[in-house]
This record gives sequence, C-alpha cells and structure tokens, in this order.
Amino acid sequence: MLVLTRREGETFRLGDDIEIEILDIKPGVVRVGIRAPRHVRVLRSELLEAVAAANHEAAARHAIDLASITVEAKPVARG
Amino acid sequence: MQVDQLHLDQLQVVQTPDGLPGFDRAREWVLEQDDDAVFALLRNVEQPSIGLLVTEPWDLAPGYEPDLPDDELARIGVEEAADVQLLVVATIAAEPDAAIWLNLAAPITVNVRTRQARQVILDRQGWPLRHPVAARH
Repeated sequence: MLVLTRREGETFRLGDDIEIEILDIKPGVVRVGIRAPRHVRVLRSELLEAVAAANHEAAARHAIDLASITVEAKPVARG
Repeated sequence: MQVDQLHLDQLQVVQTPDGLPGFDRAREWVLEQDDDAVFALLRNVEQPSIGLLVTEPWDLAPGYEPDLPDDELARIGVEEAADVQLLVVATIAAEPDAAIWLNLAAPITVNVRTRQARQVILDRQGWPLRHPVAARH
C-alpha cells in the first residue's frame, strides 16, 4: 500500500481526474473531500462488506420450499 | 432439448458482468420461479449450490422508494425506466425465529431487455439492510 502524509487542506490526485482533499482532522476522525467524475463510484468499504456479508447469509439458507412461504407486508422504517 | 424449452430457459437467465458483492466471480444466474410463490430463487450457474431468495419489494415493503443512480443503471444498459425490474434479496432468519429480512439497502436491478443485472448499493438513502417481514414457512 502506498502511504502519503498530508496536512489539513492539502490534496492529492488519483489518475487524471480524481482529486482527494483532506478537509478536517480531529482525533480519531478525518473528513475527506472527493472530486471525481460522475461515473466514479465512491462507496464506504464497510457498506460493501455489509452487503457482501448479507448476501452470504442469504445464500446459506435458501434450501426451502418456495411455495410454502407466506408473508405479511410491513411499512418501511427509513433510517 | 426442444427449441421451446431452450427459449424459456434463456428468458430466465440473468447475467451479472460485475458479479454481486460477496460473489465477485459469479456471472450467470437462473431465476427459478413458481407461479404462485412470493419468492423466486436466483441460482448461480457456475456454482449451483449458491442461491439467493429474491422478491419484488413493492407489496412487501410499502413506502419503499429507492433512488437508483443513472450511472449504475447505465452499467447494465438501461435506457428507459421500463427496462428495469427490481428484486431484493431475502434472508431467512436462523431457527426458531421464522422472520424473513429483505435487503432494501442494496436492491438487484435487472435490465429485462438485456437480462443483465447489478446489485446497487444505495448509500445515504436510509433504506434498511434488514427489513423484517412476518412470514410463515
């Protein structure tokens, strides 16, 4: 892994069209700004990992009789 | 195999050019569906022991209004809204709890025209990764 040291307000570039700026540094937390074209997807890694884990969990328990399941709807609680 | 069967099978094939989270190398799936069942099984062709229960969310999760980013849809060749079918992954809770959760945070978008699919992670929209629905099975 390439490691850079940057100060608050400093930037660096990834390739030709992505710029990362260190906006704010506090103990334990850093705020990062990203300038990138729309087609570049920016995703917190733990979110991708959570979805991957959820998929694995779902795949582990699919061997059931599909026609035997009945369900009731429930309104969505948005977080 | 008869021509009619071949045609039917092809209609149910779903391709994931980028894989799915957790199944990065999975490229081809078959959607197995009974007419009356709420859930269908999305079974991986390369590794048939891998299967995901999926369902359309609209009846089971009233109020669900995901905002699907255009650039995500463009990756599976979507040109208009009518091209998109939305499926969500269902997880059956461990026994004895009979709950079923729907993953509303990362729906699977299917281009019904090209049969290409992609699981879209909806960051910062607040839709739950585990939306419980009461179930009997």
